[in-house]
Amino acid sequence: MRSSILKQRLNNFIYLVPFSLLFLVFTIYPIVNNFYVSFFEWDGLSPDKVFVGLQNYLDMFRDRVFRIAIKNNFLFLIITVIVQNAIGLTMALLLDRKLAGGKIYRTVFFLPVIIAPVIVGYVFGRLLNFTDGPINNFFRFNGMDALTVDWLGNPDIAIFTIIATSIWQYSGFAFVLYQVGLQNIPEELYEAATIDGANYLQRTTRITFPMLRSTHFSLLILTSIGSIKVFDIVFVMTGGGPAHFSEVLGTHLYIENFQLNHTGPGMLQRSRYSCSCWP
Amino acid sequence: MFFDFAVEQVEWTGAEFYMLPLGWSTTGLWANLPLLEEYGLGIPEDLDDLENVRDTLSPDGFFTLLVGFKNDWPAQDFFFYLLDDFAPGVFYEAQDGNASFDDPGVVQAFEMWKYLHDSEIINPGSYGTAHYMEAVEPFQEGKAALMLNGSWHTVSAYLNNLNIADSQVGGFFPIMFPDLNGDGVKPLHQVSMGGGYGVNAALGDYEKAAAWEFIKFLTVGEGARIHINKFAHFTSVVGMTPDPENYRLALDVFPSAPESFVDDFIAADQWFLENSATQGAREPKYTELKQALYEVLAEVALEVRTPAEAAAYLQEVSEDIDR
Repeated sequence: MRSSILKQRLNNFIYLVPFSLLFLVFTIYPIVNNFYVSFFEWDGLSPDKVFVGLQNYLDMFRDRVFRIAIKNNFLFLIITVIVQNAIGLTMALLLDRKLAGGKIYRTVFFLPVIIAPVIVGYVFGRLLNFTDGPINNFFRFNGMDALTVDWLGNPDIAIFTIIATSIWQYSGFAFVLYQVGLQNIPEELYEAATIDGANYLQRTTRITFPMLRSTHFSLLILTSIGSIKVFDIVFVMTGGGPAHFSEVLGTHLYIENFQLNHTGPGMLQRSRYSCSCWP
Repeated sequence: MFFDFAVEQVEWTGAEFYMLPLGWSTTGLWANLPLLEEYGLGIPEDLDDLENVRDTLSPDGFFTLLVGFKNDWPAQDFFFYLLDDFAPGVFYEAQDGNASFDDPGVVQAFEMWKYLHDSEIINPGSYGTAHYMEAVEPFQEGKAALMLNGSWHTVSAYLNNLNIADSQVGGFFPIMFPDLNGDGVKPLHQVSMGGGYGVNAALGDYEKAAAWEFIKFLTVGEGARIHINKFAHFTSVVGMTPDPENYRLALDVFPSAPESFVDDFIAADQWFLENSATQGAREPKYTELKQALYEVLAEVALEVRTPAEAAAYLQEVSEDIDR
């Protein structure tokens, strides 16, 4: 009996081995190694690493671009979490009212989610280009020059343009999750509230919103992870520019690692980055 | 056998690898000659000419000089022209630690950089514009008088874009960068190596000998000839010139191309060969300097730093480099 339990446990363990190995090699080891390398000055290729203690950490916090990147990631996170999910919820509530062509709307809203962020970034980059983009050209050719905006070249605007593009792309994701959440709310609750005289706004704020708590939480986590990990759309739309004003941790890490070969400081950021994005 | 500047650019590889240069190209400006001609303008020779082009063409919606500084390389290429105009050789000296980046000439180059942005001689919005294709495309569509590019554009502008080039292939031509400091001397091009072939010193003798044979084929033998004829790269071998007949093969591939395409193509390449005087390497030696230069160029254009502060920052970065 005892040996059969042991055998069963061993069997269970064997099933876990492939995943555990991959997890150790591709997740745990890189994180530990990143942390280790962050204490060295290293170009990523040379066999020689110079131990510099906490110097990379001190340099990182003194680095103006790193501070900009942190600020931008924070902006990305706050704005995206609020606006993207608010748009998703609004769309889900509107379509929950059995509008004609609901399935078409659903498909259209979700469509941007399945497009690669690189393509979205490229297309919006072309559309919003100040020099010869169709949106600015439309205003110019119609005598509305005052409405032309350098969406990607103006340091005060660039990061918000990227955030807006990302929100456009991913609101459909929040919409789908909220739709699923709405379908799980028992109809009786609304019926009871209606009998008690609750209007639409009251039903939404007192029943719908609280009942979607688990969806809010899931979206908060997923959107936060996405905002911290953001790289491709920023890289394609501005490359972190102009003058680093739209830099995020991902693009800064790329520059440090692959353009400056600062593997020590780059690894340091990567370890912070992987820890914060680790679901 | 090789041009000196070509050999110089593969020396940095140090003792571990041995390399021979492949092809090279230069940076440059391209002019839309029909547009300039239509408005009675000549090729801009100096700052006054550039301002005149702007004043004449901008009311009709044309750009004076199209660039996309969302990428670092056009900004760097462009600024190197200004450096060669206002502080010839200083950048190369300074990056070796033998001169200072806060040299007055470098500051003047930054001031000119800022002026070219403020005066809209450089297209507004350049920092939100990717050079390919957001700047190149409008130029090819005839919306600008000038565009920053290089000798490699003889390939990319024509062979890959013949549908656009069909009507305009005779119109675009490389020109020397205008003399912006008014001393009568135009800045020179920078050399960009199209690559080099190296042999790993750690290989065994047999493999090393075989690799050298192949490299000889590619750099000075038939392989080099195929390379310059098919890809229109200038060879680093003195005296090896492209065979005009090979350009004619392009007409078989692109039958819609006008007959003048071949002559224009050859003329453009020939121009670069004849004007191949260069100021030096196109890339800074150190990535830290390259990164800092791109950063301060954007900051000067966007008024985040003054020209003097930008030069001082470059010097600060330079002093931190472990040479």
